Amino acid sequence: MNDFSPFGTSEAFYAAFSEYYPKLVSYARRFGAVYPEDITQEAFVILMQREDKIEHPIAFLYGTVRTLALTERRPLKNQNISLEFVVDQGKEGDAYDALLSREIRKEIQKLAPTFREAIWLFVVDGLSIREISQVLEIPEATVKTRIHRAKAQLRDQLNPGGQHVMV
Amino acid sequence: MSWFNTRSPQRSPKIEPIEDIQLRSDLGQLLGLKSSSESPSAMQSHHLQDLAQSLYREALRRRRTLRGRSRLSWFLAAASLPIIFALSSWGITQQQKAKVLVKQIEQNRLEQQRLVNANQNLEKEIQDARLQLAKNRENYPVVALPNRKNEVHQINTVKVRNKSN
Repeated sequence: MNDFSPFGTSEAFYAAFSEYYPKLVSYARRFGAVYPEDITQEAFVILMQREDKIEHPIAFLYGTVRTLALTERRPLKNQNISLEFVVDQGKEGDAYDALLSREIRKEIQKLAPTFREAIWLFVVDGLSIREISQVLEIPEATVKTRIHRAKAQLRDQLNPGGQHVMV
Repeated sequence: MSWFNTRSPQRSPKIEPIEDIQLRSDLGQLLGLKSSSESPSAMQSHHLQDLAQSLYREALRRRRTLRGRSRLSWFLAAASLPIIFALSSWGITQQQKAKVLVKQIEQNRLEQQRLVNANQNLEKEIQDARLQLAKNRENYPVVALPNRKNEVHQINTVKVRNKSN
């Protein structure tokens, strides 16, 4: 197993599986995937099937789940769908329900989908900036910018008077 | 021994800059995130273990299949080598034959051209000779021979004249 699992040891793999499987299912559901569990399981199989070393297995899993979920939603081959369409049509709200208050949910929906996604991966899923940049296939600086802008926008929305109070 | 023993997992801690950790904490507070650190129930944990194990087996199966498939590809490639060699040598032979034929055709064409040229030269020489002959004839005046009937008549006439005189 040691040479097989990209997580190093079987224990590490199991721990990662227990921790990230529900998160990845939720992540796939955010894209409106019809079979989020299947997509997540497929992502794990693809990861373990790889013979070459993967530096950031969690980022690889998130990226694979994202791609598979978007592919599943794609009605025709080679047809581009905006993230706005996919995320809004999906069950993003269900994922927020469990973690966020109603007010915050309302405010977070006002953010651009790219900001929402970056924030979700950073805060809720606990991915690092580098991992998010690999998942979204964008530079790290862009991820940081998105997170900071989302934070500023949220602050403004939650405190329209300008007084920044920690919620 | 099962590979997914549920001993305390020793995972390498994620190395992140302090400002990122601070940013995450700020955002968590800003969003008022409810803690979701509920440990999964025993049944859920067992289900996850089973699932992880079956995924592991599936990954192994796919790996074996892929390896087998690549081995089969190599075998097919090796088996096709003699055929490829035979075909290529046949092709090279055909190419050489074609080159010889092209050379022959070119030689034939040149020979044909040479013959055509020779023929044209000969025709020209004949033409010249005819012209020369015609020119030579013009140098000697040709006297027209009298008509035989008239000649007789004239003679007769002369004779008659002589008689009357």
